[in-house]
Amino acid sequence: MPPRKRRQDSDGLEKPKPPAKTARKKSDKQPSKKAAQVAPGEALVMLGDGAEQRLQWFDKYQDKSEEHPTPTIGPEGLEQMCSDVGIPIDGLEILIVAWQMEAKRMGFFTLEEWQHGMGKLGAFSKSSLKASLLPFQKIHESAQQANLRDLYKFAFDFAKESHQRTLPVEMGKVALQVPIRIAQPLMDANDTAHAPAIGLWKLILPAERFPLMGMFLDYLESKEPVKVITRDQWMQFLDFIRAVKPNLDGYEEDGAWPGLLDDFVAWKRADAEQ
Amino acid sequence: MCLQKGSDQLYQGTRSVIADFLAASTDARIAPAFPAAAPQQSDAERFLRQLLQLWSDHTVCLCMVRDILMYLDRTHVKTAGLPPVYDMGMETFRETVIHSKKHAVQSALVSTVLHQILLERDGEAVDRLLLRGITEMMMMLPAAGASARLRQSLYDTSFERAFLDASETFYARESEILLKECNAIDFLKRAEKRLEEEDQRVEHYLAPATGAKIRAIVESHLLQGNVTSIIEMDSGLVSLINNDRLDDLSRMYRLLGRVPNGHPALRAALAKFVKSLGAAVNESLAAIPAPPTEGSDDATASASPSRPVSASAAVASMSGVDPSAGSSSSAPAPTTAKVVSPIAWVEGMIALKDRFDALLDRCFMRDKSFQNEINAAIEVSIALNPKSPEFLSLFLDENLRKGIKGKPEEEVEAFLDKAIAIFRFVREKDVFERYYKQHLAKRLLYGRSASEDTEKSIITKLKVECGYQFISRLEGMFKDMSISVDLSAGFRTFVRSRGADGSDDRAADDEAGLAVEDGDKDTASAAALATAASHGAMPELFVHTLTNTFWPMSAPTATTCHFPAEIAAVMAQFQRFYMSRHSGRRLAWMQHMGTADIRAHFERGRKELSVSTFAMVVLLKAFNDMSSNEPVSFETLLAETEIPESDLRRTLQSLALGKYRVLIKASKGKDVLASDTFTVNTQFASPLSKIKILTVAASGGAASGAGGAGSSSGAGVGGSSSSVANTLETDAERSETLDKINEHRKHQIEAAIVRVMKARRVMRHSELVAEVISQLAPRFSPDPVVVKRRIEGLIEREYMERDSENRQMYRYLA
Repeated sequence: MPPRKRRQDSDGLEKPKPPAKTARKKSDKQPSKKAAQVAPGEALVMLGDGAEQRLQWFDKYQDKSEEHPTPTIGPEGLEQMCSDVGIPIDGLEILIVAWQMEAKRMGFFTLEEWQHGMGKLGAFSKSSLKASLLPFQKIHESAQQANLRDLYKFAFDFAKESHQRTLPVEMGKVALQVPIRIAQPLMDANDTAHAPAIGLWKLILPAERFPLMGMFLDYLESKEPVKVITRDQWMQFLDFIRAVKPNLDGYEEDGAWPGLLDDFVAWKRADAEQ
Repeated sequence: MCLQKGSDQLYQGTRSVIADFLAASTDARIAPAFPAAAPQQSDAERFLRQLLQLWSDHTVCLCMVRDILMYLDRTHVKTAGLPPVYDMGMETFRETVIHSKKHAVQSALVSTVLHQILLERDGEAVDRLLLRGITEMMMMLPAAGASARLRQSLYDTSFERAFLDASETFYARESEILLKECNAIDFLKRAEKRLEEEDQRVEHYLAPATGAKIRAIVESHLLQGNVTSIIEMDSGLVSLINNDRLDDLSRMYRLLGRVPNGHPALRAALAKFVKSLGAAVNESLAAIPAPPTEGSDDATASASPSRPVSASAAVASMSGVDPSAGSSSSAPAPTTAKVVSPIAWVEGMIALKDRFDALLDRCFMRDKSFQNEINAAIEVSIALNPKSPEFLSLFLDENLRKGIKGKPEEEVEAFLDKAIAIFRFVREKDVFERYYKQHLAKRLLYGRSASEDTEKSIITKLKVECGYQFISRLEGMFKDMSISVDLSAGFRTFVRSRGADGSDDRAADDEAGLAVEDGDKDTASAAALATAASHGAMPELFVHTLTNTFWPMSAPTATTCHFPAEIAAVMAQFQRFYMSRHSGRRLAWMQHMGTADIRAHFERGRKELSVSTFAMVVLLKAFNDMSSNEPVSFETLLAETEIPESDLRRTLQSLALGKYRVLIKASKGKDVLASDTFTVNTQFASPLSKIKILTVAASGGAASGAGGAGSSSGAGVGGSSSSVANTLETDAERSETLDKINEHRKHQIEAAIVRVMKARRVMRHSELVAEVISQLAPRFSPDPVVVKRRIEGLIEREYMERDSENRQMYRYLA
């Protein structure tokens, strides 16, 4: 349907839409066929079970305007989808979806990413998506979870501006209150979306579960020691939270922690002494 | 008898005869001589003598008996497993005489001998020979129950222990008495004497083996327990050093060296004392009041700034290195005051080091560990003064400009070595380099250096200390200087070959001088100073062509003033000339660095004025071709010369308000205002024919700073508060310098990290930090925190990464 149509549009070809029901039977062949027919960038789209359903589902939210070179769901479509599925637009769930999709750009899902991520999740409808997210609910139950690291790592690249190396700590004071909005990203002058580190941290490592996180956020907000978070600081913080206890046991001065974390510990200790 | 199987009977018989005889003799000879409870000296001696007599009689007889019974010894004794006759006799003596059942001979013997020793310790004379005989007797008598193999004598078992115990008590008391009664000097003398006495005693009448034991007792009681008390006594270490009691000091070193805790305690006390002296040197500077004109700048500083008013006499008295400074004829005392304080500081440190080096030589036997301790303490003291690198550089500057003048080579060399010794203690060598470069630049450009050889000698010494890299730029500066000479010579020929046309004027003729400077990709240049060209000819130009990267000053930011046509022409000519030689280079003129000699005709005679380039421009542009001496306003000057306003203001201050007032300012007041106007002081008069007008220092603010002595010899002009002299930085300048240094260090740290990582590929965090710090140590000591930040920066820029398995390991990314 429309997705195909759009692709053909972009190819400048007008072809009859393939019937949706046959698509499933032909699923084996379709990838190559599609690859041949369709824009080169989509050659990797995998159509497994439910691919066609996902395609239709995608279509429902797709941004039909002409501005995207490839089929893409834009911010409005995403917001719609979130409310349909019943998940918050600024919650961890949608970040997990984006992570599964390996989405490149905040606020936008391309068809390729959609198929990849939803395929991995085994989701092809709002109800199956909701079900598929259930196992992830406990992802931050413990900092030791293996896939938490993946998600955490992904979040950094996902949230930062693509041409930047670092993640801003916060976007003005507004972002301090409002956690990040994956679906409705903050847009800057260059129309690129990004999220502040603080919001992202609150989402992935909630302070209720990680007391150190809360302290660290206090530190960042009250002392404003830095304006941006580097990749190393970001990744090391997860290790830090894993290695160091909330009472700071397990922290070693010469433990090669980033200076920011050393300063944080010094601040916390001075604080505790008073 | 032996053959008749009477051996045993003979043996036992002999024994009982000896025993009986000895018992009888003891009763007859020893018992009456038994000393009373509190024996008189004569009694004691009599007793000992009797005993000794009996003993020697016994040994003589026993020898005879043994000789007679030799056959018995050979046959019966061996087979029967009995002690030989002689030994048997000895044992019998021990049993019957010493261990006599009737008389307590042994205890009397021991206590008497001990009493004799006690008497001797208290200074009375005793019969040493007698005592020697007694102890020998005890040594020869085998101990009771001792097997032949151990060969323990009565001395070992009975006497020595008692002797040591008695000594122990004696010296414990002695130590108390000495502590109470003596000062450190006497204490040590007495202790040393005691040790000698005991050694002699052992030599004279005790067993050699006892020597070490008794020594240990004396040492432990007199010294070991009192180490800190001795050192910290009022008359202890500090007073010994202060009063130059060198012999007592060496005694202290010697004696304390005998006990394990002695030297460490001495070293610690010494270090503490050195540090306190170092702190005194630091404080003495802070104590000197800052001159009123500068006072406000220094409000923040506690230990360091200080520009003492009190003058050059201080230099001479403090140093001994620089006796001529005070007498150096033309150095104007009030103006040199500014640089005295850093100099006094360095001299104080040198004196400190000299003093303790001498002590080390004289008293501490050049003990390495003492040397290290002293050096470390001095280093700490020096590091306590955050301006030490600047001070040292100023010190060298001062001396290189005039201090070393007229001194023999060896003296200069010795002086340099001392300065270098202080340099070694400076931790922030990169800061020193920065200041030194600045000061050297001024010396070179203004021709202030007293001796080029000495300059080069310092460079060589620095090279030895810090390696080629450290001095490469300094060497470059010297190279530029010599190139400049050649270049200027070449330029003169060049100009001459072209022919010249002069354009001079009546009111003020000129010879141009200006600061030239130019930069280009790798070579920049120069400051120029011209000296008198012949009248009517073209102004003569001397240009210092400086390589941009070598010299501390940066090329000016578009401060192009409007040069008079004559000068501009020469400059253009030089530029052409330079470009013809080195195409592709960029030449930037540094006007603010130059000087000019101008010939001026006043109504009262002709004068030669040596002024800054800006002053020259002002004079030539505005006051040269005026037929009538009309007032020129500040605004006009500003517009015509295009000299930056602040520079112009200073220039005018120096011309109109300084010691030599060539211009007259219409209004009163010390500041140059925008509304002021100026006229030439046609009535200008001065006994000198050559006059040096120095520009007011930028920081000085007040006009009073200008001036200086222009003598015909030209010596000793330096040191006034002009921009020519090197002075202490103000706090603002200093923080700027520190910023630059920190920035520079960042690069050095990063370079070191990359260098290390490149070689090692994979490295632990702590090792990397340690290695980087040790690599940079010759230049400065980086803060580990800063090193860490730089590592993070390099991770961020993907020069390296953390190992995915072990976050404390770094990997180098090619």
